[in-house]
Amino acid sequence: MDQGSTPTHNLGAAERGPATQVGAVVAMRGPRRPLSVRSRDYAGSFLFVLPYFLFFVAFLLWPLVYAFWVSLRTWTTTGGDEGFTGLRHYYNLLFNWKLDDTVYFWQSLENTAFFAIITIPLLVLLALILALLLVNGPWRGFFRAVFYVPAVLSVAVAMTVWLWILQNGGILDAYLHNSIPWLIQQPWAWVSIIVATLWWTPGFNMIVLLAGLLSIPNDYYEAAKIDGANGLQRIIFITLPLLRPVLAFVTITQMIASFGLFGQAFILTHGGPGVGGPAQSTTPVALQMYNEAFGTSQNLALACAMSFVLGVILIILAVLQVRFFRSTEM
Amino acid sequence: MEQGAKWTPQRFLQLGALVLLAAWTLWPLAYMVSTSLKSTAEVTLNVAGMIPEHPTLANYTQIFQDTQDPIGRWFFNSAVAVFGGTLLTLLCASLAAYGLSRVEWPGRDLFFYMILASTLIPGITFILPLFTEFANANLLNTYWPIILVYPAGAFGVFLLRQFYLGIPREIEEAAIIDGAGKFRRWWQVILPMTWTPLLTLTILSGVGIYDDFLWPLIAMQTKDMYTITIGISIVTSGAYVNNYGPLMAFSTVAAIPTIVLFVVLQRYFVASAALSGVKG
Repeated sequence: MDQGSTPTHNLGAAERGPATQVGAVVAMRGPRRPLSVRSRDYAGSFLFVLPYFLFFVAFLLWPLVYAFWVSLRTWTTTGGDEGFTGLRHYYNLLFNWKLDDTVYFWQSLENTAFFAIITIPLLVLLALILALLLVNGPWRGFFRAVFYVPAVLSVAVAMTVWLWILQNGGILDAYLHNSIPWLIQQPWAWVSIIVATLWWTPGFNMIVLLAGLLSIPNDYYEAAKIDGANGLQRIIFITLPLLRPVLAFVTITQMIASFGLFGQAFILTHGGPGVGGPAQSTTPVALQMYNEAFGTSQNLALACAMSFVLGVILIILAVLQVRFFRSTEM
Repeated sequence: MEQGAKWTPQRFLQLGALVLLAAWTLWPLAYMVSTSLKSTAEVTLNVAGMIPEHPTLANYTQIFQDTQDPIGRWFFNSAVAVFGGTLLTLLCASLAAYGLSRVEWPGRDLFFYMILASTLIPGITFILPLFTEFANANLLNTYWPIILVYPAGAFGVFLLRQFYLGIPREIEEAAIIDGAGKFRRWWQVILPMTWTPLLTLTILSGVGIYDDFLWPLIAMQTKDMYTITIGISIVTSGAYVNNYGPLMAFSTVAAIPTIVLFVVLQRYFVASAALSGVKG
């Protein structure tokens, strides 16, 4: 998950690989009965779940309910509650695209979708290539460790290093003996964010895919070899079909991670630049929500409404992906 | 092909590709460390030189003596969040995993599916709701937000439950004959058998909390309450803007705990990532 990511509450995981919760959904077996020891002491049994239950209610269910209530009101971050407005924020977000606040929401959504469409295939493919090179490669343990190192770094550390690489007069400029506006002009700003992300996050996907590859019995490859299949054919006809559930998992978690893009834009480009593209041309939706709540407009209610619209969109996309992977099963 | 595999041309090619990719992975980190050891003058004059001509620890002295941006305090805050959050996560997750796998109570399956459904909601959705909740409770800018939210995540519960489901019932039955109650069976039978996934969860949770960015950024408002990751992002555009010697020293110092932990306990990182994707 950290994605990255945070494997715990899935907060930090939003922006990196390890959005591991979905893995739980994909991988989980349902409850099984026969393990349980028979006992009529139900209250005593429930006590085990009680601590987690309290956290679950207090920091997962309740904030959603409360924030939904906030999103139905006029509510600023500093000023607090100023009365009921009903579904106006949602109406504006969905149908009134030209307002000062909502126009940026849709632009940020477009930016995030652009980032996701580019990075999801690249990060899955890069991780797959790394895993395939590792699976029967020399010094597997060593190289696996090296490729995973960036993934244990915080986005703040990783992006501060890339800031120095991409800075005007930074390391890359010194290499190229040239001054390229990596961070302050499009399309370079997107190139920078994407390349830095490709450096930072493939480790998690790689380890998951490698574990999947290692679970494929060697006999299949031996049999294919006897039948005269070459390396590429073995990958296409044995590896990929058998890896399919793992690929599905990695793709879905990567989608959620990519849509949670925040730290890279926050640190590298501050959501800009206006040069060579529209203002805020690298502002992802998470940063737009942050700006809406904590920037000049201080509109916490609208920002909460944005959270819910984004949440619904992401759930729909995840469900569609699960369907896609199921329907194309061979 | 195992360790003793033959060195065919294909294998050399493979090694070449691995070395190239490893170099690409490591060179930003090499520059991070190398720049942190350069003097201010050398950072601007010898930008691309990998080996500092006159290595110095001046940047490190500078950031540790800086009282405006108290890096020691930021480390302490991160440690509070990591230890508090991880301890609570372990406790809640292992108890709940037991309660959801090895004992019965009405509504158990309903609760299980509720937790399962909650994992479909992407993390980003929770950030502002949590902010609103803690603002309303007047608990922003305290340690509570960066300790309390993490145990609510379902990952640990699922991870441990998966292991608890694999323990044969007979093992607990022996303890029942000895008169052990449920709590003692959890503590004395199940927990000692599952310390590996517990350690895995400890590492994942600890590193996840240490690395978390968006939540502490929103929950903490004054410099004395920042975690180390927030501290870095603030000095990057604040006190040390465009001053990459101290900034790289900052990054190096902040990267050390997780990198050292990773190098020492590598197999648990690997096991955990693998588990999350492949199991079941």
